[in-house]
Amino acid sequence: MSGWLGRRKWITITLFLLPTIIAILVFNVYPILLNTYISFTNRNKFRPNPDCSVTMTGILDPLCWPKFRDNAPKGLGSPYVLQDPIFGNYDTLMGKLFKPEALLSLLFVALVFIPIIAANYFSKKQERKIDKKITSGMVWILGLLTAVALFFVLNLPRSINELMATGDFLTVVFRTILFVALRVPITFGIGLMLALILNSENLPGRTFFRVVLFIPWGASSVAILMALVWQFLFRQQGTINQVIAFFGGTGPIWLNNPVLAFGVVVLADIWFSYPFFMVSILGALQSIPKELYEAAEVDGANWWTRLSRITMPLIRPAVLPAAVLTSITAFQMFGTAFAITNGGPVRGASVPGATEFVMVYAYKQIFQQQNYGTATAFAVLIFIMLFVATLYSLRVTRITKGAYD
Amino acid sequence: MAACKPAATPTAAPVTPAEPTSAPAEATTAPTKAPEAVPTEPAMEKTTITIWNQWDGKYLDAITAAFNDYETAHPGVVIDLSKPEDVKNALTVAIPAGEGPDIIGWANDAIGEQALIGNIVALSDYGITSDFLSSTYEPAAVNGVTWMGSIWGLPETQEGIALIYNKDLVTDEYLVKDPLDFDGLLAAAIKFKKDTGNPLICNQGFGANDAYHMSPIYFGFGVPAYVDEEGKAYMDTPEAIAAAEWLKKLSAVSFAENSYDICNAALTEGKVGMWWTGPWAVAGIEESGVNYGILPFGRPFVGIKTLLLTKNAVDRGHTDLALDIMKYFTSAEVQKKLALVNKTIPAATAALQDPEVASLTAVVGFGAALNLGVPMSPTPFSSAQWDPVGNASAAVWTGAQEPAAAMADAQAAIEEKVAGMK
Amino acid sequence: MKNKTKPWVRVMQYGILIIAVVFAFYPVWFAFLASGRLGDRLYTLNLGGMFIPTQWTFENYRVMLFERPFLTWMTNSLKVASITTIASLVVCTSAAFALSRFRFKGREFFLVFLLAISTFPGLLSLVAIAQLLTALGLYGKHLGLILAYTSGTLVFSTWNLKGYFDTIPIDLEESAMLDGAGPVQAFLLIALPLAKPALAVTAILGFMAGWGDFVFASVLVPAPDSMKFVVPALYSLANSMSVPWGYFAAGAVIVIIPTIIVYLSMNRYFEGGLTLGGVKG
Repeated sequence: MSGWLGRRKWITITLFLLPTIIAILVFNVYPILLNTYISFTNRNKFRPNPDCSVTMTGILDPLCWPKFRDNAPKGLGSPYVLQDPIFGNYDTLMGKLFKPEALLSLLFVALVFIPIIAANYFSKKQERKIDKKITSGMVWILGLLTAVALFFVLNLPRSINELMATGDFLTVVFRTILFVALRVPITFGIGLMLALILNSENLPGRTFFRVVLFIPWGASSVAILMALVWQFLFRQQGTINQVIAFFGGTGPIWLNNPVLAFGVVVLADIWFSYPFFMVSILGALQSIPKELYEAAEVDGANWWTRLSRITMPLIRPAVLPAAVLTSITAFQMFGTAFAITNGGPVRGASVPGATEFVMVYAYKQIFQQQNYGTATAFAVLIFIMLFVATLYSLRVTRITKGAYD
Repeated sequence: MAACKPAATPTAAPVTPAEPTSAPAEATTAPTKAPEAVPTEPAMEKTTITIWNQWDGKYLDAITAAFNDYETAHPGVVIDLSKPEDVKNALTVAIPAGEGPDIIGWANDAIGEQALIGNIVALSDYGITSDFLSSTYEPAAVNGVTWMGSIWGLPETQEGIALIYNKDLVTDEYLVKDPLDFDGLLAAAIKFKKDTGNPLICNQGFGANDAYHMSPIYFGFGVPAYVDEEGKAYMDTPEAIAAAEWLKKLSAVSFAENSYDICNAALTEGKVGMWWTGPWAVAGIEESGVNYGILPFGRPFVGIKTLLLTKNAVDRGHTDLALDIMKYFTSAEVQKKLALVNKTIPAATAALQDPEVASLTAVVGFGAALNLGVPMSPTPFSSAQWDPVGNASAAVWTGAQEPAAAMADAQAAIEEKVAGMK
Repeated sequence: MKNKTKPWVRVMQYGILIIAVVFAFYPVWFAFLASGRLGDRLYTLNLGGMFIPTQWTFENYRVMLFERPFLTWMTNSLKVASITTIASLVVCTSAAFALSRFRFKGREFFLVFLLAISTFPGLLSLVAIAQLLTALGLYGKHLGLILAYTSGTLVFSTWNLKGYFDTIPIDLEESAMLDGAGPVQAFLLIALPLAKPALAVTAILGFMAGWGDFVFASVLVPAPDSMKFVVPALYSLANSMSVPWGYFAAGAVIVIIPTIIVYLSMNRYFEGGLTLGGVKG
């Protein structure tokens, strides 16, 4: 196929890709454009309807299209227009971030990461050298130590608090990042462990285990009900506490304690998502030829060596993209947290709750207050963040190569 | 998205909490007077009138029966009661397309918002006069459907919460006679916990973000409203702080966590004395066999369930028919039948005063609560109140914040939201 | 050469498996218990009732299956989910094939774009997309939903299939092309049959996308009952205070079963299908 040239090739390619392109334009690109536009307007409960005489609104907002124009409701509210300082909504969300103290805090946080990135860079350089005066492991340790030192010298906890005080945006984002950082590795670990076990030879009852362990993924169609069950398990009167009481202790009130509630949400989400990893790792494992393992055993490699030197590198290309995608999805997780804690436990009337993640926050802004302007600005900011993170992770994992590369 | 399915649409979207800010109770039907008008469309065609509503399973049967009667009396009219789960969003999509319902059954606090968007039309433009309203319905109900000088809907039922108690567990010594005697109730709760080891009261708003279920307490202490029509908030008043302090004291002798299901299970299984809830729970309680009584307490929010007329009905020319159906449904006759079966409280005066209805335990108990209550306002500013008040109350209950601080935070939050709306 | 696994390793393996099974199954078991409970309570505060059926009645199942149009909803859902599966297979495989095999400008860009574009929070686009579909005349029809669900599966399935195609040696197709086959034939006759495992994965994902969605379906196809789907309709039972949990749990248990059936039937293909560029022996 690489011998192909010219028009015929392009026609064929277009043929293959056309449905996808159309679908993306309609279902992904258009909403992004619309929401970005709205983030620059002052649309909210009192100004819900579009003013179709403004060109951009006329093109983007569905209510201005010919089919709807006549039927469009005209209520008592006034039409929405572009914000007066056009970045108004963004300012509300992140404005305080641009004050000197906040910027300084941001700088400190960035500084702590620099040694780690440098360690990454240098350790790769070291690995390519023939004579290793300093091993790459040493470089990493050096980097980490510097990072930790900076953490305390620059008084990072204070900086973080300072940043959180600038507004809801950073608080919510930090919390979600923490959630993803906990959830994805643990899910991966569980999936890996189960896949390894299920892949061993001569395991009686293997199919039974595979099916039962798959059930949480299947139950995600009725995720709400399952999330409520999880919520009940951890209630003050719920199953876990009752079992503890049966053995004579008193369980804590899980959902009222910010840390414990966070843990419950993480646990519930792990329940929903580990089957995916388990199945995908299982698939990758099955493509590793058994001869490799046998050769290693003959050479006297033990269990850990086999795992880290053979299994992990070989499943890496298979599993890493799935991990990236899962992280993105985990970042946008909404249902589980909303159903179990509703964004709580509450810390006060004006601050987001302890498990109020990005999407929970966005949902509340939109559906409970119809604050479209702010909510779409929030979504755009999140989108930019995730976009950049995705690009970076793609670079790191180099998974865009094609068949002939 | 619980699992790693990168679909564009999230699978887990909550329905039950989808409308946490508006009155959470489902619609109960209210009796209205017998309609006089005869529908004017030709008897040959079948006209379908769609009603999107919030009537749920158990009530729905009686309500469907009422509509079936209408259909029998008016051949050529078909009434369709199937409804979406997420009415507000579905409306936004449906109305511009010319699809969707002719009538919406909803709580009255949605009026302001829907009127601003233009999904519903003012009934006063179509022949409903305020005289008709005041001669047919209770004054509180009339107030609930009037906004900005126009009439937006016809009220069917009213509801407010009261204490449903287990007569076998809660003997007279724990029953407080004066509905505004909060100190007495607190003392009773402490005593009950000491005597039986169980909490006295379960309220799904305790420790949760539910300003609706907290309303009897705040308003009972004297707070006039969470937010009034101009957007002024009342959470930093001494009364509000006193209410929050009372909450904190009560939390020491109650469940740390409360929810509808927990209270339901607890009352049924004898683990709590009273459940602070509304008429919608009565059917379930009766089914589980508890010997219950109703004690009105505090000043609860009075939610008015209404029928609203959509813009599409006007466009389709169904206005007269729809109005006729609305009047029929909210009439005293129909509402009386429904009240007897569903134990709901009619908004139509004649039905409320009917001797059979007036003697129902539920009507007596909840009706008394309503008399003390504070009507929910249709103003859009009221949507600013739910989250802050709910969060502040939850923080006080769990001890995350002191009452004064929580109330100050709530006040600030409400003011911020209101400012954002203006 | 078969290795005999040491007994203590076996014991540990089974220990972990059993703990995992309890972890995986108990919540579903709890829901199952709730489906057999009288009345509308999801919870019970009795310890025993949380583990074994202290009360049991088939009443909830009976009502759900026969008094509500549950079977109609199931049929609708099955229909939409199946068509989504097929559409997803068609669209994703062709795109993945092109992205894997053809060398053209913008290929990498397209791949990255595909991934990055999906990071926008979908919750907000809901109403806009529904209005868009309505403008195309698809309000209240299943077709609009099928289109939306299919495009939802695009990102992951295309990436996954592309990765799988990458592992299939290109020589087979090149020799076929030398014999005069066109790219379409190479695609249909050579690449597709070899990619069966990945196809199975795509099928499952497509099915679950069409089966489990709720928000979008409730906005685009709100009524009448005969057109509704099983998951939104289940939630519609629960849209007020006195949620009939018994029915809901019974319905939920019934809803989970088809996904398990689909998984079981695809099981034999499943393992190999999620390999994104693994080593083939």
